[in-house]
Amino acid sequence: MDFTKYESDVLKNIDKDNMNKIIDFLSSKNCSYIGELLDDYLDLFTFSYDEFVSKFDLLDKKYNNNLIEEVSNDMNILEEFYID
Amino acid sequence: MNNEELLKIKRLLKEYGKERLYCNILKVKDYNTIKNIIEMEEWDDPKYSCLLTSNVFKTNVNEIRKILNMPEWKNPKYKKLLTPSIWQSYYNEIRNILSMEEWNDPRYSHLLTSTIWHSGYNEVKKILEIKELTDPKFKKLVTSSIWESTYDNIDKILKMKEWENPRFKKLLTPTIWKSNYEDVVNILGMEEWNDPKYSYLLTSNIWKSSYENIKNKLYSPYLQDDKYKHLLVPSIFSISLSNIENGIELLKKYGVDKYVTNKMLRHKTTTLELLLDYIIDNDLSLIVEHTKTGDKILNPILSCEKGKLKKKYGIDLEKLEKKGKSR
Repeated sequence: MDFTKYESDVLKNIDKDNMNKIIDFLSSKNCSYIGELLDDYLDLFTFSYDEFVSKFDLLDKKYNNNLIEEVSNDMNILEEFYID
Repeated sequence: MNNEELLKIKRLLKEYGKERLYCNILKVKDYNTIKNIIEMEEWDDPKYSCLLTSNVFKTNVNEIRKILNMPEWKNPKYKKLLTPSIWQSYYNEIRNILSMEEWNDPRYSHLLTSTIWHSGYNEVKKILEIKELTDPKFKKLVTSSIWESTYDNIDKILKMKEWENPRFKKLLTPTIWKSNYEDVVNILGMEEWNDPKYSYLLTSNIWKSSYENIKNKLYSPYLQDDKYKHLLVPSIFSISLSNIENGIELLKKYGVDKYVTNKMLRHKTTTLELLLDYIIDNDLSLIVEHTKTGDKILNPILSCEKGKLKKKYGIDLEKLEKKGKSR
């Protein structure tokens, strides 16, 4: 994992327990690219678990309950996580 | 600790198949303490094996045993709190926190999560006594994320007059506890939020970044360039300036920098280069039309995840990377 891609703020904000809960959540959604998310979107895991799930659910609705598949085709969709 | 001792520790960890536990904290611990911790029988118990993480070296065998033997873990209410974060705390602190009456109060019971181990008993008590926490305006902030902050920070942040400004109300989310009072004051005071060029960047995600980082990004020569202004989205504050600069410079070499996306800046530059070369070597188009909007975009090969690259495009990124290393 290349941490130099990220600002130090990202690494400072990682809480392992929270991150593991998000990983478990993504596994339950059959996300096959969790490793890649950890590599390229580590900052996604700095959302609190509750906030992550809430944003995921909203986006999933927007993408017709197919968010995981849509993101696999275009990971730029993940930018929408960061918008309030 | 000298190199010889460090090597001895690395060998010890390898002997127990625990190389993953190697971390900086080991450099200030002595060999025997580390050995005694790794050799504890408790780690063979499936109940506790997941607790053996590098955090555990912050403490010692006696503390570990006292904590693991606490009767509280038999109570389903507290079981979920036994996570590796617990090694940030101490036996007496843990007992005091768990015995607090406040956890029977429906206003606070949801705050009892493993994040609480970031805090100490006295801090927890003081934080729960902050009267602003009962103000409906701040209800959203009362989550277990609060334990990532300190009483001092929380108290000062909640007393800020800025929250009377409707513009800043939407920023009141638990993410604010990742920041500190000085950064919150400086960030809210930035004139840039009055500029339409930057105002949409002010989302609750901003609290994950320091004031200094935000300023550096907004005034980076690359992000000041109109050609790349579409990169100025809330997530930009997470990516290091060097990765932004390297990504843009690489795409410039291929003459396609104006099509850069935020995903591209998240790639390792070497991986991005491999994919660009693959596209060119296989006579594919670097620029294509978006199937829905018709806009010109960089080939989607550069934006999809590894598994999809293989399934949809037949590109084995791991093979490409190995080939790239051997060049």
